[in-house]
This record gives sequence, structure tokens and C-alpha cells, in this order.
Amino acid sequence: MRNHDIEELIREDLVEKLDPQKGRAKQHFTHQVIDPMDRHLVRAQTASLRPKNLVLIGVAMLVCVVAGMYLSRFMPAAKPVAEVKPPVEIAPVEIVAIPSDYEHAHLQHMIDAGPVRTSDNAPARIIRQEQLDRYNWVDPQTGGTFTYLLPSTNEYVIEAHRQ
Amino acid sequence: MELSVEELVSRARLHDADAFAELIQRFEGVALAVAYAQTRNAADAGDIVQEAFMRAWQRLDSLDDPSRFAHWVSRMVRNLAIDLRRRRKALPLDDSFDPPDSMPGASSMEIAEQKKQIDRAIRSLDELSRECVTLRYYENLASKEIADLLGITAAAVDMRLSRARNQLKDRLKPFFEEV
Repeated sequence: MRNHDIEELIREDLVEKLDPQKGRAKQHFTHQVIDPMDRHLVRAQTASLRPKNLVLIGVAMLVCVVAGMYLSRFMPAAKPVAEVKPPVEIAPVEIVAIPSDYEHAHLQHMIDAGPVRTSDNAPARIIRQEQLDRYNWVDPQTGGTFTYLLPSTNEYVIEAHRQ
Repeated sequence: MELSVEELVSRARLHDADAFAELIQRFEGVALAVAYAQTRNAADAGDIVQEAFMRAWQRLDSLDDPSRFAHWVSRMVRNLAIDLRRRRKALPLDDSFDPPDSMPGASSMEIAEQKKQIDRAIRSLDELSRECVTLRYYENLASKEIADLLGITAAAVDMRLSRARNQLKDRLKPFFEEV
């Protein structure tokens, strides 16, 4: 067995085993580094083009407006789509006055709405008064029963030294 | 015009990934030869080389002499191979076992047996001799180039190659003469 034979056997063995592994490192590097960098670059380029596009769109819109104003001088005057008619008068609504014989109920309660500071920075407290007035009466013409509810709220700021 | 290694390294340091990809292309074979000499397993060698180049890309600033890029990567490959061996120490593999690619016929059995004998003969060499052999016979590197990569003299490379050839011949001769 000659040296040359040995060398050929070893060479063939190494090529057979290692050649299938060749290219893996570059492929891995491309996948891990180059592809993400390319994607980043494309995004960056797209982003850098956006302001230019906006300026171009703005200029185009301005040109359109100016051209429209200039051309409108040569256009015939616009005609109204429809004539505006004066409003038709409506008969006044009769408001039924509350008769003198009615029932009246008054409900109220006070709520402590918490401490505040006045404009003079003095300590104070807000007291809220909530009320409900109810009026009931019978219409003598129709015999119908009417109920009128009137809610109202009052707020009182009471300074601390007056409490 | 082909760029020099130093130029490619300089470009890669400025985050030129294409320049680094070119470096991988140039030195992947060397790295595989070193990794295979260490691991004695082609798939493991492929994994280690892949990892080594990724590390090299991340640590390129720590390379002092750009002309020694191949040497630097080879050292990284060697360290990764040592790490792999340490990790696998707890679960030692039977080196003598080589799974067949397919059910062999009479002639393919002979070929498979020949390959197994070559593989065993290469494995029987010491690490440094194995690196010399794989770099010479896989990458066709001159003794001077191998010496630069391994940090030994060209004469030492020649001596190791000569001894390795004799050792391989002794191991393979009986078997191949039988065949």
C-alpha cells in the first residue's frame, strides 16, 4: 500500500463526510444576521420616503386648490339648487295653566359632598341640597290627571369656622 | 478583484455582513477540518463551525491582527469543541459504532467496512496530528499554512504528517491487502 493510496482514501473519506456540512455556517449567518438587516434596511428606506411623499402630496393638493380658484373665475355663476321659501306660520300652542286647586308635595335631603378649599384657601365643606317638588291636579275639561315634577339642587359652601 | 482578508475584516468590523459572509465562505473548510479533527463527528463539526462564526461576528472587535482571522476562528472552533466534549462527558458515546446508511449488500458491506476502518485509523491519531491530516487532505493546505493555523512550525507539521501517514498505513494495510 503506497502513501498515495492512503492519502486518496483519507481525502475521499473527509470529502464525503464534511462536504455536506459546507455552506451551513453561511446559511445560518445569512438567516440570523443578513436577512434581519435587510428587512430593517427596507423599513428604514420606506420610513425615509414617507416625509417626501407627504410633501409631494401637500404640494399637489395646493396646486389643485390654486388651479380651482383660478379656473372658477371663468366659470358661470352657480345657480341655486332650490328656492328657499319663507317658513309657514304655525298656530300658537296653548299652555294649560296650573289650576289653583292642586296637590303639592315637597321632598328634600342634604348630602355632605366633602371638604374643599375656598378661593381664600380657607377650609370649607360642600353641602348639597337635593329637592323634588311634585304637583298633581285634575283638568276640569277632560277629567285627566296631570303630574308635574320639578327637581332642583342647591349647593352650599360652609366655611370651617362657621361649622 | 478579490478583497484581502484584512480588507474583509475591516469591512465586517463596520457591520458589513456581506464582507463577513465572504470570510465564512473562504474559511468554512478550514474551520470544518479543525472541528472534525476535534469532534470526530461531521454533524457536530458543522454545528460548532456555525456557532464559531456567529461568535466571531459578535466579537470581531477583539481580533487584534486581521490577517490572523483564520487562526482566531480556528481557536474558537477548538474551544467550542472542548466545551462540547465536556458537556458530553457525562454520557460517553461508543466511538466504534457507525450506523449504516442503508441495508448493505455484499459490495456495499465491503465499502462500509473500508470506511469504518479509515475512520478508526484517523481517530487513532493524536489531536494535533489529526488536525494536520484533516487540514492537509480536506483543505489541501501547505505545511506553512497549517503551521500558521496551529501555531507550530512547518517542519513540525511535516513531521506529524509523515508519522500520521505511517501510522495510518500500518493500521489500514492488513485490512486493505485482505480486501
